[in-house]
Amino acid sequence: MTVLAPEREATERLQRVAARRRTRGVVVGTGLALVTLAVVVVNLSVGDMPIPFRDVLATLVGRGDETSTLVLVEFRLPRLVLGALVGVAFGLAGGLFQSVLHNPLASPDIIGVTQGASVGAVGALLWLGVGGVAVAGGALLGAAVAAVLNVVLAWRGGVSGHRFVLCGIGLAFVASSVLGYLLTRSDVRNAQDALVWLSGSVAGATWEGNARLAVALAVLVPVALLLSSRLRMLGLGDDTARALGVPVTRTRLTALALGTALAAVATAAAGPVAFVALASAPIARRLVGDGRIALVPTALVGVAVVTASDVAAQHALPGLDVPVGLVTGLVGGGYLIWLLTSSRPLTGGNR
Amino acid sequence: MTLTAERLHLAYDKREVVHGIDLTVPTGAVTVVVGANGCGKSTLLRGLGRLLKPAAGRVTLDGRDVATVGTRRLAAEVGLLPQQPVAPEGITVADLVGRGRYPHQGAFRRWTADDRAVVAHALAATGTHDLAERRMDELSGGQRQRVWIAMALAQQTGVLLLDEPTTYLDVAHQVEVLDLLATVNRERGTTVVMVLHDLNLAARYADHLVVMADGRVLTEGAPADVLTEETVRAAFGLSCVVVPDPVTGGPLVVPVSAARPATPSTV
Repeated sequence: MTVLAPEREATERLQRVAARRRTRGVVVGTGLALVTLAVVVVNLSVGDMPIPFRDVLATLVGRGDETSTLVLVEFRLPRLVLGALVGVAFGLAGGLFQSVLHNPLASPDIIGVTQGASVGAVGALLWLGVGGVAVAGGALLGAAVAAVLNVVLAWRGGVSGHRFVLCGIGLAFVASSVLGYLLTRSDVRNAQDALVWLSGSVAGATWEGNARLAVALAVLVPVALLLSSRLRMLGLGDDTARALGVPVTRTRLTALALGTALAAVATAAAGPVAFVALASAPIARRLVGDGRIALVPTALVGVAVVTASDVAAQHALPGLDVPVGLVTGLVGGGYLIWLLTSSRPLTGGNR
Repeated sequence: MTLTAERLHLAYDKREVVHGIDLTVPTGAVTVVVGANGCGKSTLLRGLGRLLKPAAGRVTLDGRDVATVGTRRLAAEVGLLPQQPVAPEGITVADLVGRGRYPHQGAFRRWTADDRAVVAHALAATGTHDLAERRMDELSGGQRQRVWIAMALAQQTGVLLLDEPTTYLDVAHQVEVLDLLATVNRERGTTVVMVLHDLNLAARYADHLVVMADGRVLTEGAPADVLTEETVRAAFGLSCVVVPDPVTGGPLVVPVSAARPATPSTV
């Protein structure tokens, strides 16, 4: 080859781009970790019974007094852990949906998957009068039904983002109607419980429930991470991705199934915590800033959003512990309005 | 590496667009496919690149049916650049061209120095080395197209299919992109197949010209033999005069139009 100088220049520039990406990754990761750490500190030490952080640490390593241990281990810690797990699950679920459907509105809480999960879970709660695993099963079933219906309705020799979102919004309304029916047909006290759950709350966290959710995530999250290089290729559009050897339809269906499962297990554990799925991936993408989907930062943003919102939910109104879903809904609603009114096209990428 | 279509039928849903084409793409040459809008030339290209499953017939690479070759393995041998590809928002040139390495990376094989060398070479070959750190959305149309071609080169395939690589480029950038592809063909021996709209550019850059009409191959061969007034009338319904190209001596198609009739002295 005659062109040696340009090649050397190209190599140098490639190395610089790679170095910058690494630096930015470290900065973003560290930043998110610090935010989460701050939230953890506040979450564990602030409350009706303030515990100085030094005592929190002492308690966590088993050297605290009895009351601190009770408050931390039985109440604050499980709640914090649930918030973090739910943040991971909803964040990743939204990221998976948005990236394979090339649409920032394609989030499980907009297109009926979370609503389907709610119908399943509330159905299990109210009609069958069962809890725990059965609620999770109901949520999984409801979410799966909604997702499969959506794929079938939007299918045109493949799944494209625009149709999928429109069908999904319709399905979300149908699911909400079914949910309303279930609530009106049930006993008032049960309906009251269901309503609290439906606004999305981590207040009722238990170690047992957390363990179930953690096991589910231990299976689902690694699969999502394995899929991430293919998901990145899908960002080039179906034709280019296929020409580069990506099994497009299989990848898309796998990601949708994974996202559905993640949204379902999170919904079963904490109710449909609003907008975490919608907002986490775009925030992470903006932070990472080079147009690639970033699943790990997305999960970290999900954790930060849910746990920080839960701090606000517990302490913003004195003496009133509101469900975390109300806070995320408030923040996320503003984000959605910004998304819809900002000039960026909503359906880029997919033909 | 020989790419052929055998009795190839291609359809979208139930609507058949390509009706049984037999085509052997000459190895190591530049083949250009031309034809009227809707004649099925882009569809044929998508069929050859396995973006579209045959409704009947098959596409073979060195005698193997491509449907039996793994998606990723085939992508290491046949590349395709769609018309108007989309870049993810905010992506850098370096990142985009690097994605051309995907078919050569296993599920667990990470980015290597070898990959970087190939990408650097592709950037240099397309004259986009100075753009490597820029974002795609900052570039002009011509620059962007050269970057996409760099991505296709990083894929290191023996066959490269391009669907109207000059769309929306001004005439200078059209020539620039086609020169680049001609150089790639000459220096790397890459078999190039592209769909073009401009008959005169097609005639100039093609070793082998395929003229399509109504989902079939009307005629194929060297541009000088194929591009005649009769062929243009049959394929496009256009009256024209074919004269020698004053630059290359090849065929040059000059349309005859009703609103601007010919003067007796010129024809």
